[in-house]
Parts: sequence; structure tokens; C-alpha cells
Amino acid sequence: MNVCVLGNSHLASLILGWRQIQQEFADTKLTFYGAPGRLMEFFDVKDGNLVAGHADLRQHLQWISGSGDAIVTGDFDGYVIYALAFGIRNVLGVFAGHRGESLRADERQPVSDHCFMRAIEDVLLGSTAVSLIRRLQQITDAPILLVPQPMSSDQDRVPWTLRTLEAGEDRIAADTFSTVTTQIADRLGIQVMFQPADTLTSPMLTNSSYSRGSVRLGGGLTTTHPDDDVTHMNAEYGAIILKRVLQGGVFRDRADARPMMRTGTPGLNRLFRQAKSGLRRILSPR
Amino acid sequence: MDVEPPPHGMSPSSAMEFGYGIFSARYGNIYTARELRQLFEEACGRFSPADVIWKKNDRYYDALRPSIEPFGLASRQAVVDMRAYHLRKVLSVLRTADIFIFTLGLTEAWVHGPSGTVYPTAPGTIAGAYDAAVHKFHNFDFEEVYGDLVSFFDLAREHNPEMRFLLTVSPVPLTATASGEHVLHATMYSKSVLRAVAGRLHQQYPYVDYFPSYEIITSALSRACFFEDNLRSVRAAGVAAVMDTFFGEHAAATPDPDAAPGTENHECMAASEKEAKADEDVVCEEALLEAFSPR
Repeated sequence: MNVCVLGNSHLASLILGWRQIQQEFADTKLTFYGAPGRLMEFFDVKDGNLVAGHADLRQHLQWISGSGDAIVTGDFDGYVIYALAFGIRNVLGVFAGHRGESLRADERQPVSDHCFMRAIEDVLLGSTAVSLIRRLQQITDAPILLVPQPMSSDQDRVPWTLRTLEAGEDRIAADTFSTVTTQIADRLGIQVMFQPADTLTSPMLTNSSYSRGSVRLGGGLTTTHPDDDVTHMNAEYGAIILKRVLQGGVFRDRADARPMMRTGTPGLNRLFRQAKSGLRRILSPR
Repeated sequence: MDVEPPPHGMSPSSAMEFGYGIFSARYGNIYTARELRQLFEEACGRFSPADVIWKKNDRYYDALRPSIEPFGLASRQAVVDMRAYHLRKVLSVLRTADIFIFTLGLTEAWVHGPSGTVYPTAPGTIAGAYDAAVHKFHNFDFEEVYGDLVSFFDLAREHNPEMRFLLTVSPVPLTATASGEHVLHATMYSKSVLRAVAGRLHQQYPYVDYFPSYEIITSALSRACFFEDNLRSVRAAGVAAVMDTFFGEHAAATPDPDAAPGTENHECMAASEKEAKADEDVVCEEALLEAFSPR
């Protein structure tokens, strides 16, 4: 089974994690393609392939894939889209300045739940992940599994994270993210695997043990992130993710790639229930 | 100024659908001078509108800006909360704006008879229910429009003595009228009153200016080339001609091309037309937004 794994700077943890566990998956070959930031948006669709349309992207793809080429073909049995600005941390800005009807009244600008959910949807649809998924779907009908960006470590002290925690909105943020992500995945015709619950210390934070020793995507994967980096995870985390991905059966049979793995926060919350009818409209094809 | 910006990361099209990024606050369209006056009097605690919560299909709407939440709100209290927040922001505009731009759109309006509250749309259209015993049609005349604007200027300068005003008149003709007159007749009356009031105020007050966007679009010299084929909606080229003329005379007001979307330091408080169909409004407002957006 040939699986293509695409990501941004977070891909480093998966590459290192794969080195730890690949002997357990002898019949599986993983090929990694990645580049930091939003470089992975610079693909052109040419002759049934994704071709790097930016010199920096080409350079990253060549050394990461190890194949010397900078072309992602449509021949893989499946594709994993990892991180690429699709994560709960990306939507915390919506919570920072505005509050839906179901959230606690405070100085934030009040908006309808419809408006609030639309904003979250827009953030996620504007991610590099979705951009790449849409391009991939032009070259292949193989299963695509979206694995959202890991939640930041429980040492995260940036204002948006702290605000969410102090407001007691971490659970609702996680549930809202989960709900909108599932809707987007359904709409795109892909599958999604949320972050395993056993890697979390709260609904929106990762156990900091998984962020220690994370490395940069570059320089032969030997340069570690600064100690205060709270967003990137290490090889141990990457191994956990890839095991779950490969054990989930998504790519085992392309014709029967149905089970949607959900291991994060549970079902629908009150916010979503109230906005449900609106979501149907919001998430219908535009 | 944009004192009620959209949620972080919301797309421009969604923002517009939810009433963001068009005006300096999330007013919705302000069509008449009376609406303008009553909004700012309400923000200053000098006016209490009546029947401000409309209902439709178990959803609740702010009757004074019913289109900003196209799906309404879940409760009456949510409408009250949102309006209270909005009024605080409106007051902040009053206190901090250097220049206030207002486009006079209409003279026709629907009024809550007992209180005099003027609505931007007829009760029963977007939401609410029409009650012939309560709701009245009113077509404002020169003295009323003039009086409303003078009262607004006085109120604004009471809070912000250095505030200056720029008036324009919407060139978009009426699609329909409730006056009983032919729509052509009604349009000419409305635009004549609004243009005459703007001219009078410009002549009378040194802190009031008039910008001839109406003339640029509607003049016979333009041969109607700035209108779409329906001879009503303004083409993007027409908006561009207006904005280029404006910024050509006010270079310092040209938007900063490096400014992030939604944070432009413009003072656009233009109102557009009540009678426009939704899609036509979007075209017009999109073009205006584009004119003010980073280039």
C-alpha cells in the first residue's frame, strides 16, 4: 500500500515517527511531501500531477520526498493531509473578538450563532489543507484523510489560548471545531481523524510531553525547535498519529473506505444544535 | 473607521452577507435622514424606538437593521444584547470621527405611528408583521429632511465639536413607490428633495460639504453609461469614476494599500437604496467595498 503524506512544518514529527514504527507496517510505503508555512498552496495541476509552482516549494519537496522530484502524482492508494493550518488554534481568533448567542456574555461583539459558525467555517475553508485537498481531487479519486493540526501544548500561553481557557470555553471551542470540521469533510467527500484523546490534557491542549524535542522541517530534521515552541510535536506523537491512521483502515480498501475515526471531543454541543439549520445552508455547496 | 469589524478570518463575501465591512458600524442600510437622526439620538439616550424586535419563523430580528443577520437570532434577548452593543459603537463613532459621510437615499419610509419610529424596511417584508392600524407610510418633504439633518449635525457636534460632514445623494432610482404616484414621478420627487436639502445645508454650514456622485452618475453628460442594462443598478465603472474623482480631490484620504482588510481608515457611512433587490444591492455595495479596499 502506497500512501502519500502531505503537510507543513508539522510534517517533521510524522517523518520521524514513521522511522520508529515502519517495521510494524511492512506492506506499507509512505511518501512524504511538505514545506513550511503556506508554500504547499503553490501547486499547479499539470498532466494529472501536482507540480510545484514555486522554487522554495520545489526545493523542500525534493529533499523531503528523497526522490529528487517535486511532483505529487495521483497514483497513490491514499493521501493524508496533515496540519496545514487546519486546526483548533486557527479558529480561536473568532472566539477572541466575537461571541455567538450561546457563549457567555462579555465585552466581545455579539453575533448570531449562524454568523459565528460561518466565520469558523471560513477560517478552515481558507486553510492550506483545504486548498491542497481541492487540488488533489483534481488528480485522484483515492481516499483522502484529513488529520488536523495538533492542538498546542498545555504550556501554550498565547493570548487567544489563554483567553479561551480563562473563559471556560475550551470545551465548546473543541466541540465547535469538531462539528465544523466534520461538516467540511462530508462536504469535500474526505475523511477526518481527530487528535487522539489520550494525547490531550484538556479539550484543546496537547500533553506537553509530546512537544518536547520537536524538530524543524528542514536541515535534515536535526534542528530542534526552541524550548518555548508549543505548537510542534515530536517523533513520539508522530508515531501515534501514523499508527492510528494506518490502523484505521481508511486506505486498506479504496472501495470500502468508510469508517470515520473520531477520537477527539464528543458530538454536538449546544451551540451547534442551535445553529444546525443554519449550518445546513452554510455548508451546502456554494 | 470600522468599529464593528467582522470575526477574525471571515471571508469578505460572508462578511458582506452579515452586514460587515460596508459602513463604519454595523448599521445596515440607513435610507432616510430620519433614520440617521433617530439612530444617533437612540445611541445618546434621547430616543427610544418602539417595536424594535421583529419575528419570523421563530427567529428574531432587529427591526432597525433587519438584514444584518439574515437568519435572525434565537431569542428576543439576543436582539436586545446586540442592539445595546451596536449603540455603544455608534456612540464611539460619534465621538471620534473627524468626517462623517452620509448618502441620502430615500424620502419614503414606513413609520410606527404611535412612536414615530422609522423603519428601514416595511414591516412584514424581511420580518415582522404589517398592522395597518399602527404602521404608516410617510414621504418626507424638504423641511423634514432638512430638520432631521440639522438636528443630527447639532447632536454630533455637541459630542464632537470639530466633526465635519460630507453629503451625497444616491443615484439609484426607486424600483417601486408607496406614494401612489408613478415611480418616475416618485423618484424625481425624492431625489429632488434630497439634492435640494444637501445643497441648502452645504450653502448654509461651513462644516458641511457636498460631493456630486449623484450628478456624476445621472447627468445627461454621462449618457446613462454608468448604469447597468436595467438602468437602475450602478456599474462598477460608475462607482470607480465616483471614487476616483473623490480621491483625486482628497489624496490624503486614499486608503492605505498596506492596511489589512476590514481595518481601512476610511469614513464611509454611505447608505444605499431601500428599494434595491438584494442581488443588486450586493453588486453596488461590493463595488463600493472594492473601491475602499487595499489596491
